[in-house]
Amino acid sequence: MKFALPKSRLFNYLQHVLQVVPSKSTLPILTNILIEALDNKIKISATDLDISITASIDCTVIKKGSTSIPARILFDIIKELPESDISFEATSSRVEIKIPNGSYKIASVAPDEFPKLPAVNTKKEIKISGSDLAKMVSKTTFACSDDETRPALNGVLWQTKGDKMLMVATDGHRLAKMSVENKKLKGLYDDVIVPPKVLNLIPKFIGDTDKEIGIIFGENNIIFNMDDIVLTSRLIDGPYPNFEQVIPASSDKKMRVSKDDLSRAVKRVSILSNSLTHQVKFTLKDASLTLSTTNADVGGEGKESLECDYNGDELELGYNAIYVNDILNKMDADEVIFELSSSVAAGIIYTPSTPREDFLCLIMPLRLAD
Amino acid sequence: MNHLDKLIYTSKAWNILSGAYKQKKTSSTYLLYGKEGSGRWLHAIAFTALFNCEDVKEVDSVFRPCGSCRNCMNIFNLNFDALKIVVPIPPHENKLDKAIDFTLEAIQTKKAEPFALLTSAKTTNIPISLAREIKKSLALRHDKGQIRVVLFYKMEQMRGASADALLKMIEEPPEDTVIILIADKPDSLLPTIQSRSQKIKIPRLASEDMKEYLLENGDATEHLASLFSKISEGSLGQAIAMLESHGDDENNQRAIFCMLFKSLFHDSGADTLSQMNEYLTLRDRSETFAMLNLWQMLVRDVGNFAVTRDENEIFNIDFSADIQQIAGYFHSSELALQMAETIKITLADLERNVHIQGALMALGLKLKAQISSMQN
Repeated sequence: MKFALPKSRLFNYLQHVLQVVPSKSTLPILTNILIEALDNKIKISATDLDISITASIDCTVIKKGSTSIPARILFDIIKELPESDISFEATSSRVEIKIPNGSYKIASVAPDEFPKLPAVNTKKEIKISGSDLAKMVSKTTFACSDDETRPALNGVLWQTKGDKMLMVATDGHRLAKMSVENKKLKGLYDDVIVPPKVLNLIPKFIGDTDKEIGIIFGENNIIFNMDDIVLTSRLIDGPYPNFEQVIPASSDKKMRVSKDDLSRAVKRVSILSNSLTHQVKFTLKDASLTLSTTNADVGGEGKESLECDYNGDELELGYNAIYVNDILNKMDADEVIFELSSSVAAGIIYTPSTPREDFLCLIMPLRLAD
Repeated sequence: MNHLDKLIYTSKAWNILSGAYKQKKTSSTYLLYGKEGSGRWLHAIAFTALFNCEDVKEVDSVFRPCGSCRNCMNIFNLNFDALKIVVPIPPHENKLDKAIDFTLEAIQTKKAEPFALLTSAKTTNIPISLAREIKKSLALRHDKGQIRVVLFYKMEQMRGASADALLKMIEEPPEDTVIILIADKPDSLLPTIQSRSQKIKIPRLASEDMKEYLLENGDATEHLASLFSKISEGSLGQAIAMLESHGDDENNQRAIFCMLFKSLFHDSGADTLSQMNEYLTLRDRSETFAMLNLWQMLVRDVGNFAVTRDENEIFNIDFSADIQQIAGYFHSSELALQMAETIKITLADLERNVHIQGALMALGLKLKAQISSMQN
């Protein structure tokens, strides 16, 4: 195997590929990357067994072949090199990296020892807007569970129904649901549960551009085709719980409040909340929202009132301050609407500018301390 | 891989595993138990290879992996994506990073020598952090045709939270997944885990096979290979450990003396005497004293434990498991008293410069006779 390419081109792709390489693994080969030199391009692949990435880079290939070398060592070398053409030449046990004024040699491993990567069949590919996808990811993945006893909740449910695409995540205490329209999905009906780790990589890879991304829903994998970068992830086994069941129908008890004012007040009063539950008490009465906390451990209390638009009966609710602020951070508006019914029922949060059907968050109340 | 043919594929345990594979009636959880170093690990690895081999062979009606396809090569090199290995680590090192470091170290040891013992730390625990990661990864869908294997080495070291975290996985294993538990004894595991596992005993290895392995795979002399394979109670790992630290480690010498003591209870009188002779012909007088002093302490420990059943009464805690095992032969304190007296007399004889071989021969015969009379 022998090829040459400019440092900056290789470095850009290595940065992406390295995101998938585990820093440590009980399978040491996973800290390596696989390099394949083909016709006028090289492919660099990495996997942590759950997620795989392959970057295709145009370059001058002098001799085809493949090898596997430690990813971080290669990255650290390339990062420090000045801009110039770099050539790679592999022998059976080493790779030599030649630069104009020197060379580096790294021990390599036979490519057969690298795990098999999933095959990509672009025939089944559908295209979706990269910015739509990035938006859905950023609005939902925060609500995924980390509890390994309920694996389905460790992922994001991605539904395609007719020409609608929907993402839902929940950990049982909060839920985020967002849907967008996509005419290209017309007629496609599919439900998959995708690990958030792979979804969170998408916005990093596409940046601010609004290019289309090819998606392939496989039986066991989902593939994101970004032309020069292909990202694959194993899917989580279902079934996903029936989330529609927990979203209450519209309620007439609505509170409209400034998002920033509420977020800052919650942050402040939560300093004196219980360190385990982070409970903040919301008291709604006559166009006023009072937030209060008590912390018996430090003998402290906090209380603040905010103006709000609320016409219902007096209502007292307890919420986890961290969950409230996580949700408020995802709301792109000056004001937010809370739809409430009772102190034990789920509350729905959305913005006046986006219909509830398109994006909402749900938060379960905490039992109020006596 | 020649040793696989002799030590693994001809065993009764492999026959059962191969039969299950042949009939497509594999269990979801296996418990391979037996003495550490007797081939439990290799049985588990070879079984993983059998599931995932691209060219399974049938030799004399017994199935075995080809050993040369890509999957087999990676499995035997412990570098296979569908094989997850969990080994016990010191309990205070349970963070995922540390757990990976310790696991890697153990994997490297087993890669270099599949029969090696992994008993570096006295108190170890199966790391819950790693067990959780594996659980999460098993919840992901996988390629059809591949059988995932999760191997828990020294399962008896799994306690409390780790066992709870894994119980559900063992109760409802994911599709196409086989869990292999490796332990010394089945009854050291939670009853709920035992009842959900197919138990397969890995027999002790024959001393002749062990001797051959030691001669082929190391620089052992004929004499040492013969001696250590005889006194290591069917554990090649034990024999290798003794061989590796032979002559440069006081603890190793204690271990050998203890094995010789145990052989009084397990082996025939002639075997014990020949083993003692073989070992001590290489040694000087002071080592014979050291051995008999240790035997005296072991007799006292065994006698105390036989009566009190209290582990805290054991002085030589490094041989606690051995002492508890031998205590089964002591139905009263009488045997301990007799044996202690016999060893004391031999020590006195040696002080008077009696010929070592003769004194030890007489000692061995007397001790064997005392043990036999108690057993009858």
